[in-house]
This record gives sequence, C-alpha cells and structure tokens, in this order.
Amino acid sequence: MRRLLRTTLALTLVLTVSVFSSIGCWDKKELDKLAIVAGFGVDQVQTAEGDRLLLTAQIIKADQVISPEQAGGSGKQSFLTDQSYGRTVFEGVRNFTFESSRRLFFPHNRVLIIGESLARSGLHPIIDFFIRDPEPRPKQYVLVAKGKAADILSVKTGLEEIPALAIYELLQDYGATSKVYPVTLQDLTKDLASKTKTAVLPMIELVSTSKKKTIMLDGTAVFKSDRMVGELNINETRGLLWVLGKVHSGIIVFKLPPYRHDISMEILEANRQIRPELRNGKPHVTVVIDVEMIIGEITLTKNLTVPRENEKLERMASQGIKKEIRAALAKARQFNTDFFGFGEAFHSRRPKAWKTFGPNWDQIFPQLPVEIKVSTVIRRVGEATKFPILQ
Amino acid sequence: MAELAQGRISNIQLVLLLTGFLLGTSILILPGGDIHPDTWLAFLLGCGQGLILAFIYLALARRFPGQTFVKIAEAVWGRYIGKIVSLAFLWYVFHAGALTTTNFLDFIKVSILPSTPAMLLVLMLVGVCAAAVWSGLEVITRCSEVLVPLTILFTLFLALMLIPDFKAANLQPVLQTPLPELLKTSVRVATFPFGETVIFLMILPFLNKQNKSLSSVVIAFALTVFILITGMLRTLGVLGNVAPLYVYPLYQATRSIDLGHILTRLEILTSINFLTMGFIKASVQLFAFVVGLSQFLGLKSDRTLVVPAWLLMSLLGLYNLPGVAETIAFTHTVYPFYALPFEVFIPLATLVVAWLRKLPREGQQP
Repeated sequence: MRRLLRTTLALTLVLTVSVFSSIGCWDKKELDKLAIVAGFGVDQVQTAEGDRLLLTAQIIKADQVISPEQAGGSGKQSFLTDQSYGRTVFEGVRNFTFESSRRLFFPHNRVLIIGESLARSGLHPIIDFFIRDPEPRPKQYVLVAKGKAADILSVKTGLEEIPALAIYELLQDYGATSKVYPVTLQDLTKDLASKTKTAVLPMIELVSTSKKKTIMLDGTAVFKSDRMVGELNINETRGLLWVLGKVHSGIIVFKLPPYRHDISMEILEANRQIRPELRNGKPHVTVVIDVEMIIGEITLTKNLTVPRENEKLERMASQGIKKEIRAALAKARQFNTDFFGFGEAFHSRRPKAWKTFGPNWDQIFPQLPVEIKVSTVIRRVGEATKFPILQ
Repeated sequence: MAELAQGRISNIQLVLLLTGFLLGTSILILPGGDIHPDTWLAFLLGCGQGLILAFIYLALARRFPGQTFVKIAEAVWGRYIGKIVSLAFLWYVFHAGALTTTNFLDFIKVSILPSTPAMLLVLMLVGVCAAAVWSGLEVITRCSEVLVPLTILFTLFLALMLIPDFKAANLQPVLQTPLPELLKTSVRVATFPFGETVIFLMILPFLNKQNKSLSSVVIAFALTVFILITGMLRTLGVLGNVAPLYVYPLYQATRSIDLGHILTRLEILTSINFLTMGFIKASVQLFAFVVGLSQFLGLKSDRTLVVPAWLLMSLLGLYNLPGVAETIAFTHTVYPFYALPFEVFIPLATLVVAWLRKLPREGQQP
C-alpha cells in the first residue's frame, strides 16, 4: 500500500513537472518575432470613417544595425516606418498586425511624438495606454511635433542610424544650451495628474531645404490641463528651465554698454530656490537664482582689465537671465498656466494657507507677484585674462 | 504528531521568519491604501497597534507552552465550542494563504507573464511553498535566513539607486492629514500585515526558548516597519502625486531607475523581493493550516495533508477574487473588518477565558 502510494506520488510529480516545464512558452518573446519600436508617433487624422488616430512606429531593422559597414555599403536604411489606424491607441497598435509580420515591442521605445493637432485637442485619450500597458518604459521622452508626427519619424537623420535614437540623444544633450526642456513620460503623467502644475512638452519640427530634410528641436508646447494652448520660444524655454532648476550649461550673449560688441558667457552651474511666501495674507513668490559663469568669448575692441569689469559683466548677465525668466512668466500669465509649479510649492510648504486659496489658484496665478533675484558670479575668465584683440 | 515541526527554531530565526512573513505581500502592496506624505506615521501607529495585538498572542502562547492554537482553543473553550473556534481560525489561516496566493498571481499576470494560464502559475507558486512545508518548518526558517537579509539588501540598494529621481518636495506637506483619516489608515496597517502575526500561534510552540520570544517579535516588527517606511518614502519621493494611480506603486517607482543607461530595469529586484517574501508568507500560512488541520482532525501524520492543502489553497487563490483591482480594494477596505474577529476577538476572548478559568491547571499540562 505504501509503495503504491509512493509510486503514484512520484509519477504525479514527474508528470506535473513535465507539464510545468513548458510554462515559459506562453509568454515567450523571440527576438526574430518582434518588431522593436524605437520611436512612436500619434496623430489625429480625418478618414472616410471619421476621426482616427494615425500611429507611426519606427522599427529597428536589427539585421541592418548589426553590421554598419554592410548597411552603409548597401545604402539600406536600418529602420522601417510602419503605420496603422485606430480609434484608440491600443486598437491601432493591434491593427499593425494587418501589415507587419512581427508584433510591436515597446520596452525599447525611446521617444513618443504627438502631432500638434492631437496635442491641441487633448492628451487624455491617448496617454493612458502608455501608462497602463506594462511594456512602455516611464523614462521615454514625449515630444510634440509641429505638423505631423508621422513626417518626423520618416526622416533619416545625419549621424545616427536610427532617427528616434538621434532625437533621444538631442534631448539628452539639452544641457549644452539649456534651451530645450526634455520631458519623460513619467514627468508628463505627474504634470497631468497635478491639480495646479501644468504640463509642457518639447517641440520638434521638420525643416526642409532644397537639398534634404532634417529634424530640429524648437521651443516648448504649453498645456492647459491636457490641451496644448501655446508655445514658448527657445529663450522663454530657458526662462522656464531657470525656474525649474534644470539649467545645466549654455551661453548667454549680451552687449556691454557703451560698446556695441557681443559678449558670450558660459553658464557653469546654476542653483535655484523657489520661496513661496505670504505677504499680508496674499501669496507671493520669490525665485532666487545663483549662477556661476565663465567668460567664454569677447568680441570687444577696447582693452579692459577683467577684474574691474567683472562686476558689470555679472550684472549684465543677471539682467539677461531675468529677461528670459520674465518672458517665460509673461507667457505663463498670458495662458494662465502654472508650468513653474508655484502652486505645488505653496501646497507643500505653506499647506495651511494653501487650503484657503488653493481652490482659486486659477484666478490667483495670473496676478501672482513673482520676485526674481539673480546673482551671478564669474568664476573663471577662460585662458585670456585680458581682451586679446588689441594686444 | 507534528512531524513537519521537527527541529526547533531559535529566536534569531524567529525574527527573520516573522519579518519575512510580515513583509510577505506588504513589500509589494503597501498597506494602508493610497500613499500620501503622512503614510509613514500611519505605519508607525499601525506597528504600535500591531505590537499590542502581538502581546496578546504572546501571553496566550506563554500560558500554554508547547501548544498550538488548535490545542489551546480546545483546552480553553471545551471540546465542542473549542472545535468551532479552531475551525474558524483554521479557515482564516487558509483564506489568508489563499489571498497571498491571489496577490502572487495578480502580480505575475499583470506585470510579468500576462498570457500564461493562471492555473499553472498558481500551482507552481504554491507548489514551491508546499515543497517547503513538506520538508518541514526548519526548512522554511532556513529559507527565511537567506532570503530576508537579501530582501533588506535589495530594498536599501533600490532606495539608493532612486536618489537621482527622488524629490523631497513630494514628501511635503507633512502632518496635514486629519487625525481620523490617519487612524483609519493605521488600523488598516495594524490588521495587514502586523495583526497577521496571529498565525504564529501555530509556530511559537516550536520555539527553542519561549520566554525570549517577546524581544524577537519586537525586533521583527521594527525591521518590517523600517523596510516599509523606506519603500514608502522612496516611492512617494519618486512618483509624487501619481503614486496612487498605479496598482503597484513600489514596483512602478523602481521602473524609473536609469543610471547611465547601464543600471536600468531594476524593477526585477522588486519582483524578486515580493516572490521570496511571498514564498515565506504563503509557506508559513500553509504550514500553519496543515499542522492545525491535522491536530484538529487528530491525524497521526500531518504530511499527508500537504498535497490536498496545496491544491485547495491554489484553487481558492485562483477563484476567490475576480481581478487585481478587486484584490487591492479587498485588502484595503474589507480585510480590516474581516480580519478583526480572527486577529483580535478570538485570541483576546481565549486569553480572557483562560485567565478566568485559571487555565492551564496544574497536572493538566500535557
């Protein structure tokens, strides 16, 4: 009896183990059965059946990327752009299987580009898929295309094999100018969920010259709730970045009166503080910015000794920074969009007062007094202590 | 009798086993509902309330050294009522085990293997636990000796990796939650996970030194609350206002780790944490159920119950809740009330009656 039991148990065990060992097959993802998406675009288009989403996927052609000499020699593209339509994003993604033999695979997607007309009509209907589905990563960048996202994703770029990765690199290196604000899907989700802070997204456009087409980052799209309401140009964008504390480096160009020549200062390091205060019971914000700079280039013709003029240069640079911030602030007031996150600063640091005026933030924000204090320090002067031209 | 419990466990082992048990599902589903900047305080309060409950359990265990709750209930409540009480208790242990299984299953279905049949997943997952129970309590304990330190290590490592994404402003404003709301959350935390310590009434009899168990429990609670608060702070610091949006905020926060494009996709560590701790929890629950049921039925060998218990727990885990949204809602809204009789009333009433009846009497000790 006991032996029988043992045999039965052992047999059951062997059988169950052999059944379970095939468990990985249901969710298997073989590399040669996947279409790895590097960039993804969503547009709103009119079709015969009504409003539809046009989805564009930039897919990496793995066999072309593996051997660059071969790919370069044969002149083949190492990416493929594929399109599909759907009423919702998910439907569209599945509709890709009508023409693509491989399933779209999102974990390696780097950029999500949204067409301007879609951005203007609202992001809520399309953004949920990218948050809810387990495949897309939270750190992919989101952009708004001037025009159609489909056009942007079909252009071949200069040095990079995969255009979407090129866009990704462009955004990664935003710090060189600090005039582009890269926004990840996670940042966007937070902004859309916030009650007061509004979302912004970098904009990308297609530039056509007679010879070739290229893509270029240009400005920032401003959202009210989930709808795009306006744009910031590149200088206003840096104004926004100053307040957000995202400025890494960049060049400020100004004229030092009374001379008419340009001086370029390089931003070395920037720190900012937002101080939400209550003055006479009314909200008031002070933005304090400390910048360290280097003199980068002086096209001046008169000989000056640097130490004496440093102070003046610092003052001029501070004014330049203030101008950028004011420009961004003016736009924020014009659209009544608190993309600086002043409301959140009050919410987290002045929670008691926030309870009284928080619900009316929309009325308060356009009149919110904002004081901007910038102090600039010149740390180094480059390799020349004097202005070299007349030497 | 109790052949699964051969080999005694020491106090340091109890610390690790209890920590693993408490972290079980709470390392993935943060207790207390949506996280906000005051959740850490609710964790501390809940841990305190849990400690009060743990005192009751320990007092009960000390009054009847070497006896599991099934035996205690019979001694205190008499033969018939005692059977009903222990049956209710066994149901709770069994159902709690099934809930752990459901959590396992939901997580894997949602995040890792969406198209693999749930039945196979659940049989596999609980199967590992059943294998551990089959090998005995000592094996489960030794597993926790390896896995719990690993979990602590991973938790600290992940918190460290998330520093670049961490924003302290997300943790403000502090102390703005109204007191009733805070207490409500803390009660939830007290029932899940801390009050679930009641299941250790089936484990405590197999301790080496019963009289040192209090310090072990306190250390385990402190460790657990430390891990939970670390996880909660880093999740809120990274996700901020969108944390309540996700089914598994702790998991979601680790998805954003990206250090130089090299250290990415570390969310797998969160999965490992959950799978290992969930394994400890489900194993302890399965063990308690098997040992309890065999004592309840007066069986000679408790190992025979392991396989049926494995299959039953898998089935209930598969079918008791329809989906992940319901599981989370059940954990946060229904469970505190559901667990109350088992975690508070039954042990407390048993202790009071034992005290009134001056049990155990001299000479009655087995």
